[in-house]
Amino acid sequence: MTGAALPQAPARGRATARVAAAALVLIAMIWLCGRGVGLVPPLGALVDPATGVWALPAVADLPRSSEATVPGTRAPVTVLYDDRAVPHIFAETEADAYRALGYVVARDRLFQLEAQTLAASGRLTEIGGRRLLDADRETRELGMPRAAERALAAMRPGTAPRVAAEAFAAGVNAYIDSMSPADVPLEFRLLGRRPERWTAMNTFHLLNRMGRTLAYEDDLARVAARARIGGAAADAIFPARSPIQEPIQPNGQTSARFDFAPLPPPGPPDSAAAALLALLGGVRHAGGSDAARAGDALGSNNWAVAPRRTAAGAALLAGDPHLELTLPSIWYEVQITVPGVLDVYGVTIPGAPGVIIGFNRDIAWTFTNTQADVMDYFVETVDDSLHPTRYMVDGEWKPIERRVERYMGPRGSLVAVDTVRYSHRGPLRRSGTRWLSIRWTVLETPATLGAFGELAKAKSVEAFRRATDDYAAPAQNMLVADRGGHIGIRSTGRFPIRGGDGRGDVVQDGAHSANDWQGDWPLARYPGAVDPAQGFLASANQQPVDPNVEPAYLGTAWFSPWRALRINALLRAAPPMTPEMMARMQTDPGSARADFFVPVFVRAGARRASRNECAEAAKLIAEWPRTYTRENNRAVLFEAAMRQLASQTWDELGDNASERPADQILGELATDSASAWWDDRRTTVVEHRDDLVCNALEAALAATRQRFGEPGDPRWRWDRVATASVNHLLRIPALSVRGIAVQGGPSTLNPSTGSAFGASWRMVVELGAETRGWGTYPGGQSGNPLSHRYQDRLASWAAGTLDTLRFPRRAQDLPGTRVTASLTIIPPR
Amino acid sequence: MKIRDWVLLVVRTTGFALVTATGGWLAVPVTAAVWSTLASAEQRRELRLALAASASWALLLMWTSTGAGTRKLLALLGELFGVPGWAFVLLTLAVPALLAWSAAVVTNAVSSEIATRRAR
Repeated sequence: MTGAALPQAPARGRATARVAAAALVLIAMIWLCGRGVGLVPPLGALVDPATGVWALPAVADLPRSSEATVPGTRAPVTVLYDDRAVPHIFAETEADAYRALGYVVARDRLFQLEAQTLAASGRLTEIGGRRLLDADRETRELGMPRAAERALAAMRPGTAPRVAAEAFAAGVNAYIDSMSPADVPLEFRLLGRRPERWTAMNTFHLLNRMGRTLAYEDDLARVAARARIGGAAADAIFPARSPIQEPIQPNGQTSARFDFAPLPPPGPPDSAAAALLALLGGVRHAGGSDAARAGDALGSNNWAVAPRRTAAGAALLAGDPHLELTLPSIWYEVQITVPGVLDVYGVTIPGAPGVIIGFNRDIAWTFTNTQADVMDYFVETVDDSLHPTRYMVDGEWKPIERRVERYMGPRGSLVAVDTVRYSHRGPLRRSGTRWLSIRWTVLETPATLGAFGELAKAKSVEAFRRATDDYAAPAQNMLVADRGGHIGIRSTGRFPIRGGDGRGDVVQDGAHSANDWQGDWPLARYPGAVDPAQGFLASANQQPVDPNVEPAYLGTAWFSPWRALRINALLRAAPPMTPEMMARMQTDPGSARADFFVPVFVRAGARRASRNECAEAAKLIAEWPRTYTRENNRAVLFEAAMRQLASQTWDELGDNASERPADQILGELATDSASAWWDDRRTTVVEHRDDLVCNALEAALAATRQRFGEPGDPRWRWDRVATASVNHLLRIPALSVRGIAVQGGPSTLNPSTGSAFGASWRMVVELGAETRGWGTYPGGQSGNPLSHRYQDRLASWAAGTLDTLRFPRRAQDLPGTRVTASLTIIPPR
Repeated sequence: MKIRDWVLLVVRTTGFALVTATGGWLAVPVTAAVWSTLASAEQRRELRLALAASASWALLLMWTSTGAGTRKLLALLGELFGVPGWAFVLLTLAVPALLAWSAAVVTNAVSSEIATRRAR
């Protein structure tokens, strides 16, 4: 027996090894298919040929005709998609319309709904794990989720905004419930995630996120400057008064006013400011973006022209809010019609129950960001520097509210637990051993949603202004025009009245209630105008009101008003305006900034003609018509010279470009040839203006030559140097579009080159006998990368052309040849 | 292969396709295990089951994914993962084969072991 068994041993061994290998393969495959590994999503669901990614092409486009049931729907709702994939919703009640809106938005943008909710509520770790913990902490330590919960709780059941938010949620959830596995968007599959149910709370998360996106401050740059060069010089280069005055509220000027004055020279470092900088630096990633730097690349515009200045004798309105450009877009185009109640067309932000920017039969409206200072810091006196439970106000201890924040991982594991503390002012953040409260209007904004619902129903400029009286945040320059020929604008939002000297750009002592906000500006003091004598109104994130007219502190983070100068100059000189002219203006290549600085460079080159390189650079810039057309080949040198000029001039402020003042301050300085600021402390000689300008020109020419070759080389073409990018929400390169050639440049009306920011929606509306609209945005209506609607508008957006917006009064008015899909939402039985 | 083998392949391919469409990917190893037990006398049944599973997903792929949309998807997936798009087709065909083969081998071993113990 032994002899017979011996030959079987190797065979048995092989069989055992084969079974063991198979078992390992089976376990590994089940693990890979069911759970995935690391960044690899669960393979089974991903490659399943029936319901995995392979099914996506089949659902990339909307079915020609479909039906759906949404709980709560009272009467059938008809939704017709036009040839631009815009849904036109015809409902019998407002709530039904918002149910339909929720359904159609979810059908086109389900992942976007979820992604922005996770970002806004500090839950990104659930898709990205620990590496996104810092971003989530930022959100939660700012009190964003708590604010959304409080805003919803403050809204009584049955009130219009709450009904709208809940109806929208019902629509989203009805779509989620009706989805087949094949309908699950690609991003969910890549993340190995199922769509969450939508709640009304998510709408408030979204609004808070917008408030955060639109928060701009320059506190940190100012304090950093004080620490380096003292208070007087820092306050002069980061002024509360814009030295170029072209305000939103017309001040009777027929051209911009230049309030230029010699700047105080850099002084000695300020140790108190240095201490404050350390304190603020520990907490100040929170708010928003840095204003001075953002001002060149970012910038929303709007303007309206009164009938007497238009060719057709009807008011015209144009708007192009600039935001980070994403695929899918932040905007979703829609018409909502409820006979006798609501008849509106425009763009909504997925998650918002209603149109945010758009027009109805009688009015059109659009926004730019006001840039007002609505966020303040208070140093609190606490009972324990590490784990405070109380803080002191007017000699009395007050309890600190504590909220436990849990951060979860992609597979439900606990990533971290934090405690966020709150004073009566807002969230408390620790910086070293000190604690700062943040008070911010965005965290206190229950009325915002209601305002959007009401303004869409307004029939006149006056009614629009009344509808927005309670609007709180984020503060917006709300421009409106009506069919009666009126135009109006108002910087609308809560503007706090502060204690002390009223300034909000200093850190207050929280131990005294006198330093608290004392109330809000009354409506009558809001910057604005209706039907001004000049016959037009415009805004471009500049200082909204001339401080000679309204000296009260409103903020400091104003963008340099170059775009405002350009818009107003074009409108003042324009013949009677047409919608086509309005649309062309939105990508106008002209630049007031270039108009200002080119002569500075040219004059310096002439005065220092003996410096060959300087003179050559100045000559090259002089050849430039100061327009950022795609084919121009001088803007590249001008921009290099501007960077060099800023870097060499503000050398006292260090190398961090975000801590330098805006270009308008450089312009102010340019009028003072002997200012101490012109001296580059890194050199042994004392420079004057023309020396430094020449240095900048020489350095710019050398750098441009080195990078792009000799002048005349095709690489100097602007569209080869500066392009726009539209990134996917998850910044996945394969789902993004980069390197888009566009017309425009820094501080032009279309400053989207060289960045992922730009005109997120362009709209022109003529309010004649029939309201007519034109518009586009970079992207497409569908969030499905496989749909031809994912980025079908990019080409026209890049070209600066607008599509005709179809605004039928009734469903049957939309020609059948224009209908690409239909959806009927029927009440449940 | 004999006619019987071809018929078996068609039947199994259809079966795997149906269970995948109704029960998802997890139905593949389960079905392979059941079939493996039922066909314990069949030579090289693990490989045959793997072939049938793979063929069934190929069939489903042809059913769900044809046309320009799929070419776009392949290009997109390739770009996303930094591999050629066709690698995803191979992966899709390999997944059911591996699931079916490994499940069949393990099931065979377990059922043989049980049969041996019972015989003792």
